[in-house]
Amino acid sequence: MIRSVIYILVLVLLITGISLITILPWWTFTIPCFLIGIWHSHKKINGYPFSSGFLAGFIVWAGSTVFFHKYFGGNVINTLSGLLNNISPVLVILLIGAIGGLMTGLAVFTGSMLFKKEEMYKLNLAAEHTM
Amino acid sequence: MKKKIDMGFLFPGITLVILVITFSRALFGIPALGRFLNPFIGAVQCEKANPPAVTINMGNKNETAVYFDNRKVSHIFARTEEDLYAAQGYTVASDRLWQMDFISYFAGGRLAEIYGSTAPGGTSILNLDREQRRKGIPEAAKKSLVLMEKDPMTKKALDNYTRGVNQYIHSLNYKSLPFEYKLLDYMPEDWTNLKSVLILKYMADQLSGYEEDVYQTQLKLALDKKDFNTLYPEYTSYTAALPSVTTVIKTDSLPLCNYINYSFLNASPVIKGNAYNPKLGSNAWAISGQKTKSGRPILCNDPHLSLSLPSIWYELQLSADTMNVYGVSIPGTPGVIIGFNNDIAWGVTNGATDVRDWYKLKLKDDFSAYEMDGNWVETEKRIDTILVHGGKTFYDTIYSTVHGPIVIDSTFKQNPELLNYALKWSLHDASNEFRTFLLLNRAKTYADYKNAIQYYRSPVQNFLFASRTGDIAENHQGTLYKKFPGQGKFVLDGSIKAHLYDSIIPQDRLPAMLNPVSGFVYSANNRPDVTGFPYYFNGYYAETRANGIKGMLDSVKQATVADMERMQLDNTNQFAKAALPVFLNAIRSSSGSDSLFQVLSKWNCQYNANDTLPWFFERWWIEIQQLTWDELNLYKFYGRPPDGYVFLSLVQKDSANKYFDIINTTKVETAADILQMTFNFAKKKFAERWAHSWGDFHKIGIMHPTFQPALSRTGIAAPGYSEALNAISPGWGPSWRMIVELGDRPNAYGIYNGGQSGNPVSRDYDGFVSDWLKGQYFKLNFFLTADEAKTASVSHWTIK
Repeated sequence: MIRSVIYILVLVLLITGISLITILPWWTFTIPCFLIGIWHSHKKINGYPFSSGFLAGFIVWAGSTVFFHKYFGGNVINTLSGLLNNISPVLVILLIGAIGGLMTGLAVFTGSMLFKKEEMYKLNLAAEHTM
Repeated sequence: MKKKIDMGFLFPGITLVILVITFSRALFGIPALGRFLNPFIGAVQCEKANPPAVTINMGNKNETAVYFDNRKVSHIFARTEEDLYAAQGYTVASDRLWQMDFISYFAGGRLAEIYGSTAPGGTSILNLDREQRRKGIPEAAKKSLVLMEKDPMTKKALDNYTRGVNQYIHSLNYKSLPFEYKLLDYMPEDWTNLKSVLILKYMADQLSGYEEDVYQTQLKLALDKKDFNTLYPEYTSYTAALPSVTTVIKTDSLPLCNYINYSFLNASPVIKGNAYNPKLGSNAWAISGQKTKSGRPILCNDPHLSLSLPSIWYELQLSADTMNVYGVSIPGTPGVIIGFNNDIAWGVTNGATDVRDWYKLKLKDDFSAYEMDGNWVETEKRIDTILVHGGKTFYDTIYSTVHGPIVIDSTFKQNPELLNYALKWSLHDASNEFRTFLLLNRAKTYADYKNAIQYYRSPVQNFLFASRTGDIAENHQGTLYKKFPGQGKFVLDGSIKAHLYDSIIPQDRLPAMLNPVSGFVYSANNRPDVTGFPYYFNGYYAETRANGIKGMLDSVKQATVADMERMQLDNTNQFAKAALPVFLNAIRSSSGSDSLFQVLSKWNCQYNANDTLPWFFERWWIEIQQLTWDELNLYKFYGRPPDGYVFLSLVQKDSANKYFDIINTTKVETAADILQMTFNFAKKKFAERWAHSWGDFHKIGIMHPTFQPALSRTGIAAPGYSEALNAISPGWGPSWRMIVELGDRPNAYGIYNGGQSGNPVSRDYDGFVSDWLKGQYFKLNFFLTADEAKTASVSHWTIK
């Protein structure tokens, strides 16, 4: 459990760090996430690669949106909700989080799937089911 | 364990790549979500405010300081004009880049480059672009730019303004891009002097586009001469500035044209609603010291333009060794357009004089030539290239004659009534209106002002002036051609040389007024006072607000700024004020004891948001017009009813006029019958709606150019009326209210319907709207020195 939390935390810090270098293309953060995924399989870390990644990405995108929104003045989410057919501001944040989550989750998962490691994979699978 | 690539990664991997590609591009009108919603670089970052102090390196010799006051108004203090205009360009761009860029694309007929051929709502962008080009806006801008760049003062202003804007553009990356670029997913191009001129021509187009040439011709043909002159006269007894009768040139007969006959009338298609708003007008007046409490002149101006967010105005102070001026500028153009300095104040209203004329051509089928006095003359042919985002480039062939471009032809039938007509428009002439404003910005005396306005050519505007030394003046300024009576009011014959005009009325003959004995000058898109003016001209004038202003200024003594605020905010429907006693008098015998009659007879004709009577009067007036002008309604081309003052004159002087008779009744009705019947009807309707206030009915929208409701403010219950001095109306209104009392230091107040920032997610985007609606004014901080500005500023930039 603690390992999973640390793992997600590492991902959160990594994505945030890379994303703060704003001259890079918006999707750059998926590359280290992909590498983490490889490391993930190699190091026999327990945990779901996709859901851990999704959670980390979600936290970063939704969390930063709320942070910047509050920090800068508190208008932008309402404007976005107006532009998105007046959906509720909470849904806007969830949507933003979902995009970050999806990208991160897929990147980590792809990395974790790169190399054949049948036994380990089975082991992981079994571990995931018993967790 | 030996590592082998597991093909199982392909599925999530490919999905990831597809998502990256999908989220990286705008699809189906949805922006590139990966960038747009990314919290580190996307829309969320647009709310970031400017840091308190910034140093901008522009390679200038001297330092320029930009001080922002508590309303984010920039006060620019530079040494040289080069530095000043560069700083203006940079500052305005930092707040309004997208807006000015968008207008330049619109004016230049290039919107399809951004939006593709059709907007998501179905609007044909390509047709918008073609229309701009076919009516000659980009061509006129290019021609004018050549002239402007020959003038060192204008060239210096334009070059440096452009330099400043580009400095800002080059500092941008995706994260710092203005909100709309992210939303619409494109990057700003470099600014050019031409883009500034396009914005100037855009304004000229907005202010001079309205016309009725075909409609007036149809009316003239359909009605007999007496009826036409009665219903659509050039003057009524209500004309605010009525000149002595001897100088009025009447248009009793049509120009000689062999095609203006009844087949013309029958062949003419129904005219679509005019896209231009004839009410884009304004109020302005100046009072001499003899009528003010302070003994100093006061100048007031409130231009009525389309209400938009971002506002068309950007407030600022420009100071250099040669000038120190405060006022509003138009984003994308250098200098101040309406404002004041330590010595003078000036305002502008639309001249409303007709500057667009249409010539019916006799053309060869292939457009290669047109007939002129019996000879065939070759047309000029131009092929315009319109780039289309995500589509095929469009090539538009535009033919021109000696008159001007053929806007509507078989390939472009937006206004079929003008098919194969050529457009002659003073906007097409090369002119340098920037010079007027650049000179006004540094003017000190009446002579300086007169020298400045001579460069203002198109469209005709009324300039009002007041100086610290006590002069007040008004000028109907612009290119006015010498025309024969009726020339330009009706469509003209393109096959007769005699119908062309090219001789301009000399500057010193244009309608003008300096220090009149009345102690005031005023203009509200009314006919200018043409006493002694020997030339024919026509236009689309409005007299109601002018009558209101004239009445108030006649009686004013010891005027103060507060009195002027009350005038600008006056919600009295000036037409109702004149009409109501006449209407009530006509129905007094039968409805005098009616409770509504009693209420109305005491009504001050105020259109405040919480008043209920405006709704009744509006309803009554609509019914009156429908019943009275039912004869005109039989014509398929019928569009605009005769002016309200025409109706009023008829009720008073000819109450048995045939137009009062309702065509489908056997009885012969009089004015009193019409007024009684419509009163009863409107009263019944009013009873059903009694509780509804004017504000419930009178909702305005302040719209973003994309018409996105989320970026606009809509459904605002507003006071005011188009015929009241406070002319707030559903789509337009007092876009900048300014009052300047000159003195040792100008005492000035103003407000506009927006905010300094063009950023839709900034608190400064629409910060002034509620105060504007409530009729509040801000004290305008005109600083004499940079030190004063520094003390009062909340943040500042240094430009080096």
